Amino acid sequence: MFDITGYLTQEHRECDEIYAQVEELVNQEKWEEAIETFKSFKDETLRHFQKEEDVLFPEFEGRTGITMGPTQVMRMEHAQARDLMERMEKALLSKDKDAFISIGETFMILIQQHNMKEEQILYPMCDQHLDAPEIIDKMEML
Amino acid sequence: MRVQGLSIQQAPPFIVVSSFFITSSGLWFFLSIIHSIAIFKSSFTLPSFIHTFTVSLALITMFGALYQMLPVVAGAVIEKPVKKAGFSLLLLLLGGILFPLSFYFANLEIKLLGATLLYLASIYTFFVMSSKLYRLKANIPTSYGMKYALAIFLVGLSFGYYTILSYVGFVPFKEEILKLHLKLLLFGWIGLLVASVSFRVVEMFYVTQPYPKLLAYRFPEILSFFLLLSPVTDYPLLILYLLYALITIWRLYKRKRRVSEPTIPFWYLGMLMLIVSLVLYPISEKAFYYAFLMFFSSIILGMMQRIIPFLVWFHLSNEGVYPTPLMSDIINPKRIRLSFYLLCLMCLSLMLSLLVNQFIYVFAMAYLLTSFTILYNVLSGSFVYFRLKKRPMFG
Repeated sequence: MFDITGYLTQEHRECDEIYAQVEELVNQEKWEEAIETFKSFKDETLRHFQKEEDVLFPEFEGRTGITMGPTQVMRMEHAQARDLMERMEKALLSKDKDAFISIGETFMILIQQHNMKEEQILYPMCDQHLDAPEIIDKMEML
Repeated sequence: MRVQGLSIQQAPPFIVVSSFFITSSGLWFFLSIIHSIAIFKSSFTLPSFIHTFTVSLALITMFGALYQMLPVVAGAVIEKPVKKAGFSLLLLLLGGILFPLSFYFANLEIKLLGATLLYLASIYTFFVMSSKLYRLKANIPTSYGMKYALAIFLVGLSFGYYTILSYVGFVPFKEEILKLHLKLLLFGWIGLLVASVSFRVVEMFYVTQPYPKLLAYRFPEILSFFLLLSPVTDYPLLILYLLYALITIWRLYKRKRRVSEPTIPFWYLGMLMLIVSLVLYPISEKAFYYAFLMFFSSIILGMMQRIIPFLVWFHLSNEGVYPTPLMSDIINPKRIRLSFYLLCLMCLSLMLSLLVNQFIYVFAMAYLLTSFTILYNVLSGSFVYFRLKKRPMFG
């Protein structure tokens, strides 16, 4: 049985693996497959963000009363990641390998330092204050 | 209700990390000129060379990186970071120049002054960092390793300061204390910090299999035990690091992100030099130092050239500067690759100089060019932030 940290960390790793496939496909200039795989990656990432923004963060904020703390920072970084994903998609559609790799590099570092903060600080705080099975069920229902 | 880690929005301002990185790369360049002149004048001294790499480059860069990482990765907030980091940096800057240079002078007072400044800077920075870090529960090997590394650092540094006091005649000189100083700081501070960071960074940034849990989570304890054993035998310590280096190379080789990323070669080179240093340890002290210095320098220079562009992008993006330049616009990957090729030449010529003395002249040139390229990359990258933050661009 997962706790919140384990459940969401697993999703981070799954998204990373799909992203690595996209990058490799772009590197080999297999554009059609890259676009398809990127779509899965983007869907998975946005679904993960939604689980956090619609369930986890409001629950955490409601329980602790902290609304301008780490959850706010995480939302801001989600917005930055969404913007970079849009730019990556445009680069993919215009088959611009250098632009994709360049935006992807910035995206990857943003997302990994973001994941580190969540895995090291925010998720353990959520496990400490929330009922993990209930939260995971709610996130699964999205 | 006590909630830890509310600080994740409190990453220090860009000026904190950039000033440490600019100072360390600036000092490294300045001292590379001194060492190159010394090489051509045949007055090169090994202790000055070692302390240039361990103090002026590694210590200052690592403290800068810790000011950034402690709030972000470990959730340890440092209040008033600009003032505190500024005080640390001032002492480190003075000590970081004086101490390595002091080995070229017969004057012991300069050595004592340089060492005292570094000791004060380090104790101050240790307490600034540890007062928060040790209160937090460590959930990942990186923050766990940082706790051990900082503690070992303080002990190892104190042994070093004792040795300086013995040179001045205040206390009796003890060979064992000097040896402990070297082992604790090389393996227990620099090595442990690099390993602790890699346990997280390699897996996450390059999408690799995680390190074996026993190694990643128990590395600091196993290492501490082997350091205690080291007066009897150093082999367990060497085997531990050998295992770490081989696993890291294997993880990188089997990584899922196959795309060419400019910092990966720095990791490979660093691990290769670590293996070389461990193999040479029982054979030649000088050869071990040469290779070990190249090991951590490679990792530090690679990371520095990733951290600066990311932080510039991150802070500009947070401050609403649009369009935000991407990392590759901040430090061109071609320039990062150039610094890597120069570093390779530096490593190769330094190791070959052990066999054919004339290679030391090639090393001197490669050293100058590498340190200049690094300083240029760090300065020009940081300058992008200071230029753009004042003139936000729209549309």
